[in-house]
Amino acid sequence: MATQTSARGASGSGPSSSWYWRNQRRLAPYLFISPFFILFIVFGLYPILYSFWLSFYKGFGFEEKTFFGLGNYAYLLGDERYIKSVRNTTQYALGSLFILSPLALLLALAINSRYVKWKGLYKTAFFFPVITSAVVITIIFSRVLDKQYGILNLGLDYLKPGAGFGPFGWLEDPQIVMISFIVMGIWTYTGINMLYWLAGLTGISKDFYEAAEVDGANKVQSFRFITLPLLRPVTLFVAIQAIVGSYGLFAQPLLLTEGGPSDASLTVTLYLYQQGFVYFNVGYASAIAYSMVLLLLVLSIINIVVFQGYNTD
Amino acid sequence: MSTQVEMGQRVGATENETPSQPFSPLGILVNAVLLLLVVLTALPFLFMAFSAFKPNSEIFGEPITLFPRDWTILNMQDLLATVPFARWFINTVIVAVLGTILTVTLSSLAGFAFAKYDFWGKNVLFTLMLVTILIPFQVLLVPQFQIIRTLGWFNTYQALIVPGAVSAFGIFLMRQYTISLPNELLDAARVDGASEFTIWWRVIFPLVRPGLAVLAILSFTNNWNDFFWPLIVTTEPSMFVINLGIASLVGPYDYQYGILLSGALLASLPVIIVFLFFQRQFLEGLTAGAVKGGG
Amino acid sequence: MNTLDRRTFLKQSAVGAAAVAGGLYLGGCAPGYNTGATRTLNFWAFSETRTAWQEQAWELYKREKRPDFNIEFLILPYSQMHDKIMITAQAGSGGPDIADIEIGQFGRFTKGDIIFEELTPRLQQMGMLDKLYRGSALDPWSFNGRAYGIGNELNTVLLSYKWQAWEAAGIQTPINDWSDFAESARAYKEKTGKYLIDFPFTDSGSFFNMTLQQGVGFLGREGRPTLNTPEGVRSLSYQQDALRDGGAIRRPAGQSYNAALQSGDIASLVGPAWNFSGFVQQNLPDTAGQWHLQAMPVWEASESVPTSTQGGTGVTVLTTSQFVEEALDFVLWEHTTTEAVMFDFLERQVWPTFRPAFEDPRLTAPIPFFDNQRVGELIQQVSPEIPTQYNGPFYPETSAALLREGVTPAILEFVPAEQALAAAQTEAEKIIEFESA
Repeated sequence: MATQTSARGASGSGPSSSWYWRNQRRLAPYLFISPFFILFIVFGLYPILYSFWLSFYKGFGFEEKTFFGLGNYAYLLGDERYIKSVRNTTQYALGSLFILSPLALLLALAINSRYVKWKGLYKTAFFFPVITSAVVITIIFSRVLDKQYGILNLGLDYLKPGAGFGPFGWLEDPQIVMISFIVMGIWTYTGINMLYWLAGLTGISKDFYEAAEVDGANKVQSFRFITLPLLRPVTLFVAIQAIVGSYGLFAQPLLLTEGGPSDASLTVTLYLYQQGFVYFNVGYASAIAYSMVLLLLVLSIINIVVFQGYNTD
Repeated sequence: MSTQVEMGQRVGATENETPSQPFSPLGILVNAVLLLLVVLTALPFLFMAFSAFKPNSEIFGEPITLFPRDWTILNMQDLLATVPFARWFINTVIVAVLGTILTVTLSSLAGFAFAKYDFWGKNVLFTLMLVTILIPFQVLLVPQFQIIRTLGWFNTYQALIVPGAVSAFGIFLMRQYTISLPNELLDAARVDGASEFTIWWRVIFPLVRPGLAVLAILSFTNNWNDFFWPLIVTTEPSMFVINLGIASLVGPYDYQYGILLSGALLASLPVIIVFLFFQRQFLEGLTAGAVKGGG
Repeated sequence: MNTLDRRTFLKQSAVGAAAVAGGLYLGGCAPGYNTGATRTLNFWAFSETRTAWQEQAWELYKREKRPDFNIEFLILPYSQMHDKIMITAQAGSGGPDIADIEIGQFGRFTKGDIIFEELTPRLQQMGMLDKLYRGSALDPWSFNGRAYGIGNELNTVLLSYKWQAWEAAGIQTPINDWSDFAESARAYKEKTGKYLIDFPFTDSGSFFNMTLQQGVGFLGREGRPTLNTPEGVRSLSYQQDALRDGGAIRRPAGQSYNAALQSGDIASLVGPAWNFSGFVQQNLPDTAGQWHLQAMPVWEASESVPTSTQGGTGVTVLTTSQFVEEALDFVLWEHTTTEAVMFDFLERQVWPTFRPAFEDPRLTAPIPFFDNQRVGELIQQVSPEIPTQYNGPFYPETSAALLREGVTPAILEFVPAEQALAAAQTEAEKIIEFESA
């Protein structure tokens, strides 16, 4: 090691490289982030700033724009389609938060418990839907959810054959179409949420539980007073992921129902896309987008406050 | 705070628990429920996979079956004959592999910088980047399209690879993994005369392997599965990627479901295989660092 | 541990390097636009059934005119194709030379500079303007009196009915007006428990036909919405009444609709050739011989003609094309040459908008699917009366508002017709006002 040191130390030759050597600790971070940042400025920052600027303008596509101030944002508040899309997406987000996440936690608890031996198998098996592409999911579920020929209705029929539990129009009935997407979402994302919870659970030291047992606590109590509080950072993470991810629901409604029937499955990003691309109101589309960013920011902050940050006591 | 040794211990903790009791009454129940759920999860996918081998009449006929009554590979053959599937496959491999390498490299470099250095504007930049994760990509499409046009990058691999490598999430992830490495390691390397770059390459990079695995898998999956951005920037069918290719089959081949399903099956297999291959590192990686609290 | 990752990384980069090398190689081999000496025009469509006849027309064109260019057809799904044209043409590059544009999508492209070449002057030069059934050939792709697209599909709307079922129930044909139709529908339901017709709530085509035949479309001449009209109210109320007293049923979704037509649970439909011929023949081939056609019933209460025109896809030439002349030459030729348009008739039984083509006896021959009725004759008889419709930049928004606020609530929930249409009109106007700079 010592010989290497001197060799290395001596290899800097000439004034320029020793200036670099002397200063590299200060320069290095800038050099390290620059490849990323150059690309980020071109493909990330510029589009973001430009589209934000656009949100204050009216006009079609690539043409002349007229200044509109907060007009786009004002219109948002009264736009029924926007409100509907927010409602639909929120329904979906609630499904994610209050059905998907707890379900994933249950699974994680089960797998983490001593009753299960083949943990790897379960982890992998439940994770598969996550890596399926949106297109393939669409293709699969357009078959599964078909009213006449889908296996979901077929399965339900087996359970309660005959009248009363008639074939559901999963993708055709405006009342239940959003539920179909929630079901698809659960199928797709329970796996990864389960892994997040598992990561949190395995991080809780066994000592806590042992101490609790000594004190005479039962399973439920140790869950309430040890597991849950110690899971707080994970809960925060899962919650934010669920909310942000849900508001991004786009590809499946686009491919399966195009937001229909009658806007029943219109999500915010799908509406944004329609405004920007079909009607070419790029300014308005941007306003929708940034109103959503604002909403997500607020929700994230609320979550952070509720779960009191990332720190564990 | 946590050294490698501790990380290993934590990972090992799951294995060295109180002896498992899968065959106690509660255990059997739990396992049964879990297995049922596994079957339910796999069912839609299996339904699609098997249907790829059914003739169209069976897919749309009654009664609805899971296993094909008449196995046929006609659908696969039709698929390969009617569309440039092999070409799509190669395109997707190129895009996914190169994209992943690019993302992983850029993210770990930048993540390292954010984790272990102090520089002017660090916190502001980082927070700003986090906020950009909240921005829906659809709103950026028009300006990004303009840029692609200016650069003349339509129907090129660059257009598919480069914009996607810009991942604020990737930096966030790598920073999480890097930040927990002890500074003493870095200082020791500096004392030995290593350049900062060498520190990254020889010290940090190998140690954040779990994080790299997670990022690589996620990045590979996203690149492989993406169809929307390719839709925007490619107009030549010979430059389509797989998921865009099968999406384009949905319209005209609506009633030729067999072809569509075989395409979907073949499109999903590579990601599954890659995942299975790296699954141990991936799962370890998630457990070790993803959700730890950290500076 | 270190060696392990280095190995993995090296493995990955070896793959990467190979991929890069392979990629560069393939990149070089990627067929680009217009390779070689012959110029290639790109034709984008969203339906294989439409490119079928055009490819044949192209072969004919090649033989007769020996052009020095080539045409390649590319099919993309419906919305995606239109979206791509939107983006790429606006961006000035990356788009095709020729494109199939559907009537409902045309309006999008008329906001601001219209990206399609104007066809009227050239057609006039060719002396072809009068030889087309303009209602179906040019109107759907026109704005401010100028035509930007041309369609070959003669979309004369007719009433197609299962004549055996009708005969068995004692219905007198032809039915000449809608009140007679309503009565027959009620009687039919009583007698057989089945329905004479259905009305959809997820599309406004049925409403459109009934209203256009009275002279009113979605847009007026200046492109403003005309939803809340006496004619519209009349059509919508009629549908509601029929649904209420059982003469009609709401259209079932998807395959169930086909099944109902097949079994006769719904015994007729009103639509153009792509519906009564195209869809029906494709989806219900077993009903061959069971259908007869007649003109649409008219409205006693207003001036109306016995037909309408519905839907349609036209061909356009983009102004961003580098080969506008060549493209125009082919496109206009294929629509005004009898042999060329005959291909579509032979493929999908679509009658042409090119009047002189009707001299070809094949167009007026008896058709077995329709029990040997001479459908072509009926079409020829009725087509001159096709009413005019107007298209414009706000057609998509207007038709969407109509469906959302007008047709769906009215048909699904029996919101009073006047109220629904008024709501639709207000909504459409509000959107237009918002969008207009």
